Amino acid sequence: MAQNKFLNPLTPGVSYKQFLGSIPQGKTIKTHLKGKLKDAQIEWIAEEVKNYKKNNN
Amino acid sequence: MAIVFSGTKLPQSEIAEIQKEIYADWGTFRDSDIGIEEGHKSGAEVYESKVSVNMAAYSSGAISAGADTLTVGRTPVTLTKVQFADVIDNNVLLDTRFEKSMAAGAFNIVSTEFDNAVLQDITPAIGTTMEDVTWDGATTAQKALIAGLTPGAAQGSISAGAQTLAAAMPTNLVNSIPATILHNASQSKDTPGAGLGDYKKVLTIATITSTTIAAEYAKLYAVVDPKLIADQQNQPVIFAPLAHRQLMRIANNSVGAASNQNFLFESEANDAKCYYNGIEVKFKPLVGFMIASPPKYLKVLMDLASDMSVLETGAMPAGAEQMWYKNVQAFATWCTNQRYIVLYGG
Repeated sequence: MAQNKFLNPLTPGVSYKQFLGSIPQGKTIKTHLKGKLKDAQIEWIAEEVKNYKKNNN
Repeated sequence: MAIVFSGTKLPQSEIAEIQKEIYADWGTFRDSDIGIEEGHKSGAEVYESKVSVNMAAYSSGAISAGADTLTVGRTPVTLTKVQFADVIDNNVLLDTRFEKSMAAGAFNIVSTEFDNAVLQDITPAIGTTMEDVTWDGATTAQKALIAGLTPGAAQGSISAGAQTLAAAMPTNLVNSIPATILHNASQSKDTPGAGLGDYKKVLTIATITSTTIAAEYAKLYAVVDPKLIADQQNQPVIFAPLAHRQLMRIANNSVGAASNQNFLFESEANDAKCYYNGIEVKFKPLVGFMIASPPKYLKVLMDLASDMSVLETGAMPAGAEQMWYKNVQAFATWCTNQRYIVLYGG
């Protein structure tokens, strides 16, 4: 199912909107990315998403 | 016999020196730390070229059309004319120490002491402001353009953090260099025209403190194109926020830790030149961003750089006992060869 396919936010062309839309409901960003990206990358993406949400509110 | 005094007691002396504000000169214009391009009144064209050639199998026959590309991009850049101007009413100086330096006669209210001690600071204050707007701030329109970009984590997307920083920038009449790097209408980008700049960003950045600064500079350094590192004629420079000098010193001399001096200072002097892995670091009033680039790729377009220190003054008309002053400048920031510019935080 397309919804379960992992969308890597570090892939060129992937926006935060698309990435957030790909996270299964109820899952946090950190849980979703755990094991798929390095810890430092996950921390950065989580911080970025905070900024993204703040900028779009 | 008791002394009886009635009335208000006043201080009977003053500290001779008037305690002044600090007007910082970060060398951008004085030392031409970036490309200062003079001779432009209202607009200028910036040309960039790029040639790519293809190796082909040898042929002794006539040459046919190949696939080489000789690209020339022309981008118009508009300068913004700005002024620093106001009207001074010297009457305000009556009943202060400045009275003493006013010539006799009720009509004379110009204080030479005030002129020498305060009025002459207008020019350095203008210089400080020009430094500040060069490195931080954006117009309302530019802020909207940056906010309208689609953020993402990968190269080729603006980071959400950059949009936050841009939104928090002071709103100015001109765009700073980081604001121009983030969004511009260069015809020499991979995708020419208005949109995201072609800069390279640094992924996985973290808050910079004295304990993280070495790691963050390592990330920045790693993104610099090796061609630039090797180019002795066009060495990159890291432009960093002012506070980084202190963080670097603290990191170099961390208490109780083994000496691990990542940042090389030429001396112990507080204005000593600083290098990171052979790249000079210059400290500027940047906020949140760092830039690694050959200085000539970062440009300020002006009519005359010395316009900054020209202050015209005169008396107001029709008997008004006031005077005016005015400083006028034409200004724009620009960036070229954007694919080689690294914008930390971008």
